[in-house]
Amino acid sequence: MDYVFHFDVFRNYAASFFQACLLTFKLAGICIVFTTVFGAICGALLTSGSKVVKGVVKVYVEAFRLTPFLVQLLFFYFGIPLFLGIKISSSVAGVVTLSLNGAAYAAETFRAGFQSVPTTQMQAGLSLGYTKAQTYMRIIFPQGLRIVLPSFISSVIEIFKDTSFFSIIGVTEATGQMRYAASMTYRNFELFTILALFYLVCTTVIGQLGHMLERRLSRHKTS
Amino acid sequence: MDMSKVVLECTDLCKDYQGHQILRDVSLQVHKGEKIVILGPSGAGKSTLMRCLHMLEPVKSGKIYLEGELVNGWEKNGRFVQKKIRETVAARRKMSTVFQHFNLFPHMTVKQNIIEGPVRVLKKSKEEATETALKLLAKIGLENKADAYPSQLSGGQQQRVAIIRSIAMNPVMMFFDEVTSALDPQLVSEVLDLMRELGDEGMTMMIVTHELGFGREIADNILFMQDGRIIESGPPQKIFYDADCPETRAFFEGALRGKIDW
Repeated sequence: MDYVFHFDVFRNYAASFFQACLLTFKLAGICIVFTTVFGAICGALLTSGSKVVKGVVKVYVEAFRLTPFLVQLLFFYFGIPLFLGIKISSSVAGVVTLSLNGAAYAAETFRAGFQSVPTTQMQAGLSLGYTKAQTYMRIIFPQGLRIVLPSFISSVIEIFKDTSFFSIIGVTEATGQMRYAASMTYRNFELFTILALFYLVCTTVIGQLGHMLERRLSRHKTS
Repeated sequence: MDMSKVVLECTDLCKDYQGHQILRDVSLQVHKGEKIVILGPSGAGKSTLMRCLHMLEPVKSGKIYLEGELVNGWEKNGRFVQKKIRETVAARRKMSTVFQHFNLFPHMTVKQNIIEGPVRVLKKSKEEATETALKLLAKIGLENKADAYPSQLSGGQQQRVAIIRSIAMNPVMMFFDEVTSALDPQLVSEVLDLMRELGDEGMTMMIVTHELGFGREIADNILFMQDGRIIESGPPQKIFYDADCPETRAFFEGALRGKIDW
């Protein structure tokens, strides 16, 4: 092997890569917030008594879980605008698609969490004079969230990584920017190594933050 | 004790569950300060009756009156319609149930568990609710556990916290649903002592228990249930030793010999 490393070419692209990383954080952040809120709502609806409500949510969840994310992205960026006769930017298309995709997975996770809270907790809430809605907000949700936190953290990591798909529809986030730099310098090995390390470091930090949150929230389990 | 005032009354309560009749035409009255103990074999409908009276579960038919007011339904187009669970909130919060498995909220500390209802439901200030909570905790000797989580307490301690969580809501009456059945035998007495104390303070109580001795001692009135019906009621002396119904007599004879399965 007589490959000569040229990591120094990165120097010319460091500033723009840094900007691109900030964009990645921003896009991922928005997606994670939407996924959490929308996923929790859908998860709660999946436990609802109404068959119609459950059916509608189920169709949405399955549609997103059983098709490739890349196809969804292409559909939302190239397909939907033509069909509706509107223009949407590639960032918006990316965020919408990834949020909907993430929420579909999160909905199932949340449903399982909410359903694993004992039904006696609902009775205890009612006995205290709560309405059902209040019991959900104060008693069932907080306990369900704690139960699903570990798998929810992996969903968050998944979302962070999947923002790299946005480069395909032309968003210059971290991956997009690095693909550009690589095409200019042909230093694919060096630049994509740096890119991979960027994702590795970020996801490791997210994982650790998640663990800390988990420990904080499970204080009540120490006996 | 002003036993002339009726706190809770029900007439012809019926409840179905998956095609089975759990309650059949149950009617009863609970007077202010009265201690009613419900006894009967397993599956008689004792716990269900209390859950229905507290409106934690809907009934099929029958009427429930709390302090003279009809609370579980209304007249619509000339016929009586049962209220939904969410429509009975106002009456439900005047009563309180203590459960077999405590049902404390595991993600909240002992103090948070106790102030939760007063703050969120009765809209008391956090300071006022906390002060009451600490006073109640001191009463049961657990003031040093205020910031502990339920999992850090023994079963008996958890159940006593559950009882004062109910008391903090200032209920007009309390239901006790087999509150000692899940406890280790040596922890039973601390819970029963607290219930006795409450009784002495004049709390109106309805109790389902397997502690026959305790039931006989605390009850003003015993209801004996079987197959979803109240088949006999009366003072403890009468029901325990001189019951009219053969079923009642058979039950207590069996229970005394430790042979009955309930």
